[in-house]
Amino acid sequence: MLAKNAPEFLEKLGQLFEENINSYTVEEQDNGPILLMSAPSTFEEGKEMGYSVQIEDGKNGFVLLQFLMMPFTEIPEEKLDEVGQAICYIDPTLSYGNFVLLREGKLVLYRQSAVMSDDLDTLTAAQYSVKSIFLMERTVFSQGEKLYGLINGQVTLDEIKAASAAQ
Amino acid sequence: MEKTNLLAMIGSVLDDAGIPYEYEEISGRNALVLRFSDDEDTPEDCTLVLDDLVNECTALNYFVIVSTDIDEKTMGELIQVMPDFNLMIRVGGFGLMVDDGVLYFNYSLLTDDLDEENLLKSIMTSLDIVIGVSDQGKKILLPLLKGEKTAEQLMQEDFRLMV
Repeated sequence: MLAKNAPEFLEKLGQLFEENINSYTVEEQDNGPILLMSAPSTFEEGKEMGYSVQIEDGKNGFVLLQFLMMPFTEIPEEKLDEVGQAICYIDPTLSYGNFVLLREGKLVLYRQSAVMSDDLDTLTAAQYSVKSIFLMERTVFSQGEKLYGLINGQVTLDEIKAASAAQ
Repeated sequence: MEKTNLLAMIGSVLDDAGIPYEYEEISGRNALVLRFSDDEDTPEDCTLVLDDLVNECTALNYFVIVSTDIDEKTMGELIQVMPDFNLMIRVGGFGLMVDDGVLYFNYSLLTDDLDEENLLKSIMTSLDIVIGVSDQGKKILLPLLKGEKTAEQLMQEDFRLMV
């Protein structure tokens, strides 16, 4: 039962990633246990990028796996509208996951979820999770660069629109 | 599992449930399409297609056309509301094809590692959720799509999706 064994499962998943991350911890939250990981940022030296995997008990024999990355934080206030617009142009070009802007927190999330049977064995769930995180990293590294450029004034919104239209 | 086999298996489950669908070829890929009613309050159709991703990963993509022929002004309003709107959703996300005037909802499920039974269970439960969320989302966005409310007015409301 994945929901019942979620904390142990997330602990093992954290151990799997241990070599490539700075730290991890498993916490209990209102909507289920969560694995929080911190890895070096791909975009900014000295900064960290947050990852998380949360298991929510979806009832009726299903669980919801929530995968989340936090590639950009501390986005300047004046850039928030443009970043929100850029996400609208970038998202249709993605094969996996969606970017989300948190205006109040001034950060961008990239996330993907999976509806799974609660009967799923932990090995298969781990394989799925590792693949999902790998695919998300690939997307953040390739598509996040545009957002990073926009946030730092190296890329314009028009350039992002044109690049998305060309894809 | 062969891609055509997986779509055929989904079709078989839909047959048993009495849910109509069609097979189509979309950009050279086989797809299974569920069409909804012409009611302007509901999404138009849901396409299930298998996509090859990097490292030999395969994903079943659920792509719901929520609304089409959206004019430029309304699209501008949707661009404002979309980042906040997607925050409420725990499965999948709404998106815009700005130049084509399309509002869509999408969700992806990796298909490689799950055995047949678990995969079909996940696929069909996901389908229920995808249809439910896209339908609820459209109903919330309808006043904006009809030009009855602006993005600012809509964002002041305490809207919540049930899923």
